Amino acid sequence: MEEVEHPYDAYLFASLGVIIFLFNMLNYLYEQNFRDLLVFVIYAISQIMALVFGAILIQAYNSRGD
Amino acid sequence: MYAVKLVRGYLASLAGLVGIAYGVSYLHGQSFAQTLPIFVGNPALFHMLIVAPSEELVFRFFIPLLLMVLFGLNYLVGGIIAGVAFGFAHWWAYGQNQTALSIAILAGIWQAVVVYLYSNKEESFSFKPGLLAVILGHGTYNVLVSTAPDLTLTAGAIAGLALGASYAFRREIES
Repeated sequence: MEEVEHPYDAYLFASLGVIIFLFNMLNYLYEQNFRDLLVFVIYAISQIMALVFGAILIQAYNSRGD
Repeated sequence: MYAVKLVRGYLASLAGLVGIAYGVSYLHGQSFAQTLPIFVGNPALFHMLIVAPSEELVFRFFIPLLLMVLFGLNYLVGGIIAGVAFGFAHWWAYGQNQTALSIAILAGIWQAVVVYLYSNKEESFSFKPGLLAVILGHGTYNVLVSTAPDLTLTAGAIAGLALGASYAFRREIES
């Protein structure tokens, strides 16, 4: 296997999750439900970081030997 | 071909997760209900769009890629190592229940195998559609066990039968 391709389908699906997170975050802030908000924030941050750093790692993997 | 692989990967993921959960619970002599995940807010939205994409992107995408870049490993090897890490990441969420921990480790390894089997790898390794398939399978499993645990075994059995039927049907067409 020479190269790794970006999983754009998974990126799109995960970005839906980020939108849901933003709306839920507003709702939890309004309700002052900080426990659920914290769980959402942890999941959302890990999701965004995995997306961004995963995409960077694909670039790094594909540029080996250049 | 993309849609066929996506559906098969989804069915394999769901059937495998249910099979592992029931099989390990049975072997440990524990009830399946003791291995349920945490619940926050709307279960369907939370599990399908937050928990499943987040966990799968970290443990089936980011960590295996990191191992591939750092150590030059194959995706399958990196995915299996990340699958074990996925299991141990559930240690606190499941209240240090050893049965749930065993289920999570095996489920993590199984999900990595599904990504590898159902992703295109002819010219280059693509996570498409294996990664999306395991996200959907994981989300469906979590929604089932948190909203209708009594239906989980039935849903897993139907998924397994549908997966088998998809291969049998394809072989019939080819012959």
